[in-house]
Amino acid sequence: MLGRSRGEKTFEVFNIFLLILLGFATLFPLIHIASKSLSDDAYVLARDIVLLPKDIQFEAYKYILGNDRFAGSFQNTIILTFVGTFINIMMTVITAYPLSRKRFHGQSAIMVLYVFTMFFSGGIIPSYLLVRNLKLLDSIWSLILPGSISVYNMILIKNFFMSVPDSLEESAKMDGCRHIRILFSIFLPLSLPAIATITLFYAVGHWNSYFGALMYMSTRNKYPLQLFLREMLIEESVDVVDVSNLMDVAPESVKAATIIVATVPILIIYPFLQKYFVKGVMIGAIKG
Amino acid sequence: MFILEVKNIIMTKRKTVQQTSQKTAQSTTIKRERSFFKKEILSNCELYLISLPGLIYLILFKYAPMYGITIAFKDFNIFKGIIHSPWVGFEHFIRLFTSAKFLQVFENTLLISIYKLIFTFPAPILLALLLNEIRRLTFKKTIQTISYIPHFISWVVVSGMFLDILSPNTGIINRLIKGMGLEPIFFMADKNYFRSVLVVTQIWKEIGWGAIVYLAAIAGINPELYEAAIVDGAGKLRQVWHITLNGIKPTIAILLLLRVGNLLDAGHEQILMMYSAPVYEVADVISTYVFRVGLGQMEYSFTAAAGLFNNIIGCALLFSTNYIIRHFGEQGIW
Amino acid sequence: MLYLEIKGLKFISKKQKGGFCMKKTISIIVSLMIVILAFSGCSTKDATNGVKDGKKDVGQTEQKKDTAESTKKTGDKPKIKMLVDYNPNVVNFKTDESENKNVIYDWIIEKSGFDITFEVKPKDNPDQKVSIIMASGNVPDILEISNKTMYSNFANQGALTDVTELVKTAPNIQSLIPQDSFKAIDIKGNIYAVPRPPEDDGYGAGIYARLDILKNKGLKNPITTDDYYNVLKAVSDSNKGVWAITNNGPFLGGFMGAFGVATSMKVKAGKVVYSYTQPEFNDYLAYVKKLYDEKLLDREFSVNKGAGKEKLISGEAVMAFLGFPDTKLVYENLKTKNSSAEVGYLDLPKGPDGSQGVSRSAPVIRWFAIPIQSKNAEAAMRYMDWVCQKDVQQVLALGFEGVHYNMVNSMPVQTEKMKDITWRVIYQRLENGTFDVRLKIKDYWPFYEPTMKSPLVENIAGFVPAIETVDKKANELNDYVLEQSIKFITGERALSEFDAFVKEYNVLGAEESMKLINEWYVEFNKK
Repeated sequence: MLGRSRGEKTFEVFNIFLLILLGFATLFPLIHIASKSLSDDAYVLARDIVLLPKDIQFEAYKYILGNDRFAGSFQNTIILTFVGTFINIMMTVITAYPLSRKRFHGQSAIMVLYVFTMFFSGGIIPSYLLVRNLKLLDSIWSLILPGSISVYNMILIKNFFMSVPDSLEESAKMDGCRHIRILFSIFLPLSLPAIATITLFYAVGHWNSYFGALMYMSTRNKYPLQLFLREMLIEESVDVVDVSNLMDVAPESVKAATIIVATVPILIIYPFLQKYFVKGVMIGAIKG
Repeated sequence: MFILEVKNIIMTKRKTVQQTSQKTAQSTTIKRERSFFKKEILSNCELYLISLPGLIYLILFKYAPMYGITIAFKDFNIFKGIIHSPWVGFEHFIRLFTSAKFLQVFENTLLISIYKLIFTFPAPILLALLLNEIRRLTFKKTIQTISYIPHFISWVVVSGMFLDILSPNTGIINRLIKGMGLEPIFFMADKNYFRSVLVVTQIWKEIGWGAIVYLAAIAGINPELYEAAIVDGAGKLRQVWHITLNGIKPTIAILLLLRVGNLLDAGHEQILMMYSAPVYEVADVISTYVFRVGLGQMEYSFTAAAGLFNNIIGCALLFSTNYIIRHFGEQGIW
Repeated sequence: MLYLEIKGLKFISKKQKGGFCMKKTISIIVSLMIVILAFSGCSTKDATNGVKDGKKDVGQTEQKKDTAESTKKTGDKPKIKMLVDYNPNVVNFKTDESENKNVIYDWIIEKSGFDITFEVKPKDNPDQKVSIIMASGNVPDILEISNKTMYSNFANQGALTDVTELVKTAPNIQSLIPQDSFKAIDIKGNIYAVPRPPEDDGYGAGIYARLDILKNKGLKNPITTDDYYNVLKAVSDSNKGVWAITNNGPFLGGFMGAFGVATSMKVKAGKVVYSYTQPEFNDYLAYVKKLYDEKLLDREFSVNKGAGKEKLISGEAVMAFLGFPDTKLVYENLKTKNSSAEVGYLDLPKGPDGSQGVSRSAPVIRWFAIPIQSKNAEAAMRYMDWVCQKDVQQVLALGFEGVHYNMVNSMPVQTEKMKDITWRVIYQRLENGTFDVRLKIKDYWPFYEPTMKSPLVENIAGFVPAIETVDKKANELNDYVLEQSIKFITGERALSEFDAFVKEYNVLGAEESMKLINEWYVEFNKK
C-alpha cells in the first residue's frame, strides 16, 4: 500500500505475465481434448482439431453417459472417495500425532517401521491372498483398507504437528486435557492447510484409482469410474486375427470424452478446499 | 476477533506456566520427579493407545505380506506359490547385472533422475512463491486451479499430445523453428533432445500440483513477520528470501528428503509412453528395460528382483540423507 | 521477540530424551506382530496346503477321483466356472444384465445341462490377474489362455491338468479342431489344453492407398518393388508435407514379404534360421533406406504408434499397410473429410526374385486349459465338447433365429435386436466357422475380402513351442533388430556393417536360441 517501488511494480507485471503464460500452457490441453470430444471423428483422426471443435456432435458423450453402467460406476467412485478419504484422514491424523510428540518414546523406532514400508512391499500376490483371507474380495473395503495410510501424507502431517509450539500442549496438559482432546481441539484446527492438502491428495487418489479394483473386483457393476472408463475406450489397433473384438461403435472422440468425464469432476473440488489454504487462519496469530 | 481472544488465552497460559514452574521449583525435588514420571507414563500410554490402529494396520497390511519379497530370490512357480517355490539365491540379480544393457540402463536411470531432481524439484516452489505474491485473489485462485490440470491427464494422453506438438512434420514447435529459418528438430527421436523433453514435460505436468503443498506451508507463515520486515526496510526480494523461503524450509527439507528416497524412480510410465526405439539408448531406464525384456513372459521373479534393487538403493539413500540432515541439526523424518 | 522465546522453549525440550520406554515399545510391537502374523499367516498356509494336496494327486488318481465325484452329481447340474478373455462388448450389458444373467446365458444353462458361471478378465493386465487367481488357488474350471508362454509355463510348472486322454472322449471337439492344432500344443507327448485355431489364416491386412492421387498422376497400380518405387517417387511431395508411404516402425508390411523376410524365421536347406541374419534382410533394409533417403517414407516412421490411418485421412500420407478394421475407418472418415478421395487396396509388392506375401497365422491362438486344482475336469471337458456342436455354435454366433436375425436367401441378416446381444462374444470362445458370416453382418466383408488375394508365407515360428532359453531372450533379440533396423534405414549406421550386426545379434543370444530351435525342428520334422 505504501509506496511500491518501481522495481516492485515491474516485478508484479512480469509475474502476472508469466503466470498467464503458464495458465495457457496448462489450460490448452484440456480445451484441446474437450474439443476433440465434441468433434466428428473424421476431423479428430485427421488431426485437424487444435482449439475449437469441428462439426459438433455429442455422440461420444451419449455413448458414455448413456451406458447403463455409467451411473453405477460413478456412484461407486463417489462412495469410495468420501468413505475412503474420511478413513484415510482419521487414520493418518491419529497415527501422525503420537509420532510428533517429543515425549513419545519409541517414536524413532516406529517411524522407521513406517518408512520402511514406503520402499519394500510384499507384492501383489501376498496382498491378494491377504485380502482374500479377510473375505474382502469383490468388496469396496478391499479398495479402502489396504491403503488406509499413506506414509508420505502421514509424514507431512507429522511435520506440521511438530511445528506447533510446545507451549500449547504444555498449557493444555496443565489444564488436565488428555491427548485425544489436545489432538482434536488444538492440533486439528491449527493444521487445517495441511489437513486440507492431504484430504485433496487422498480424495484424488481414490477418484483416480483403478488398480485395486482391477485386482480385487470380479463383478463389473462394482467397478469404479476409472475402470469403467478404461473399458469404454476402444483400442487403436484391433487384433486382426480375433474378429470377435470388433465393436459396433468406434468413435475416436470417445477417447477424448472419457478423459473429460474422468477429470472435470475432480477439478471442481479444489476451489472448495481453497478457503482452507487461505493465509493466516489463526496460525500466524497463535505463533505470535 | 477470535484471534485476539486466543492470543490472550495463550498469553495468560504462559504466565500461569511460568508461575507454576516457579512454585514447583520450591518444593522437594524427589516428589517432583515421581509425579513427573507418573504423568509421563500415563501420557505415553495414551499415546500408545492412539497409535494402535495405525500399528495394527501397518502390521496387517504391510508387514504380513512382506514374505512376498522372497519372490525375487526364487524361481516362482505359480502352482507352488511363493512360499514353496524353489530358492535360486541371487540368480535374477546376476542376470540383471550381467545383461548387455545393464550399465547403459543404470546410467540412464541415474542421469534422468538427477536431471529431474535438479529441475523439477524447485519448479513448484518457484510457482508457489510467485503465486503468493499475487494480490488479486480471483486471479490467484484461477491460475492455481488451472495449473494443476495436467496432473490429471494420464501419460498415455499426454505423450500423444506431445508427439503431435513436437512432430517434425506438422508440430507447432517445429513450425515456429522452420519459420525462424532453422532445420526442424525431431525431438522424440533425437538422442540429444529426448531427455530434455522428458524433463520439460514432467515440469509442465506436475508443477501446479506440486505447488499445492508449498502454498499450504506458506499459508502457515505469520503475517506479522512480513510487517516487521517491512518496518525494518526489507525489499520484496529479501522478504521472500528471509521470510517465505525460510518459513517453508522444513517443508522443503522433508519433501526433498522423500524425493531423494525416490531418486531411482525416473518416471516409468512417462518414459514407457513417450520413448521409442530410436531413443532407447538415452531413455531406457531399469524399470522400462525390465518391462520390455519380460513382456509377455510372466517373469515375476525377475521383475521383482529389479524392483527390489531399485528399492534398496532408494531406501539406503533416504536413510543416509536423513542421517546427514540430522547431523546438521535440522529436523529429519525421525 | 515472542517468536524467539518460543523457539527457545522448543530447543530446550528437544534435549530431553529418555530411553526407558524403548523396550516397552518394542515388546508391544513384537507381541502385536506375532498375533497378527499368526492370524493372517495361518490362512495363507491354508491356501498353500490346498496347493500341496492337489500336487500329490497328479496323474491318474485325480482323474479317477473326478469321475467319481461328477457321477455323484448327475442328479443336479455340475457346477463349473469359466474365465474368459476380455472383450470390449462387455460394456454393452444393460442394467439388469450381466455375464451370468441374460437371454443367451439362460439358454446355455438350459440346454447344456451345466451350472456354469462366467467371469471375464479385466482389460488391463489380464495376464497378471490370471497369475494371481492361479496362485491363490481360487481357480476356474476352464481357463482361457491367449499367450503361448503362459500355456507352456503353467503346463511345465504342473498347474494344468493333463487332458491327453480326456480330450479323446470329446467327439465334437475332435471334429471341429484340426489335428494340426493339437500337434502344435504338444508338450513332450502330452496335451494340457483344448486348442483353438485362428479364424483367419493370415489375411486381413494390405496396402491401402489413395487411388485418386495415383489416377491423377496417370499411374498404374504398382506390382513389383520397382513399380512401387516409381509410384512412390511420383506421388511424394515432401515440400507440401505429403509422404508417399507411412508405417509404424521399420518393418513395412508387404515389403518384407517381397524380400523373403515376411516371417521372423524360415527354413533354409533343411534348417531353421532367423530371417534377420540372412542377406535378404540386407536387401530389404537397402530398399527401405532408399525410400527414406529420398523422402518417400514418412520421417516419423520410427515413432509412429498407429498413426497410419490418421495420416491417410489427413492427407499426410498416400498409402499405408493397414488391417481391415482400420481401412473401414479410413474409408468412412475420408468420406466426411475429403469427398473426392478414393481409397482401395493395392497388390502386395513382388520382389526381384518373385517373393510376395504375408505371414500365415500361427496354428493356435487360444488355449482352453483346466487348472489342476479344479475338481471338475471331466465336466469341464464335456461342456467344451457341448459348445463345439454346430447348432450351439450357430446360436452363440448369431443369437436366436427370428429374434436376432433372419435367414434371407440362406444368408443371415441381422435384426434390430442383434445390437442388444453384442456381448455374446464371451460365450463363443471355442467357435470356429461363422467368421465370414459375422464379418458380413458387420459390413467388414468388403474390407476383408480383397486382402484374401495376398499369398500366405508359411511360418515355422508358429509351431515352435515355448522353449525357456529362447523365450527369455526373445524380447531382447527383437528389440535389438528393431533398434538396428532403424539405424540402418536412417543412416545412423552404415549398411556395410550388416555382417557385424549379424555377429552381434548371434552373440546376444540368437545363435544359442536357434540351436535349440533346430534341435526341436529335427524331432518335429520326423512326425
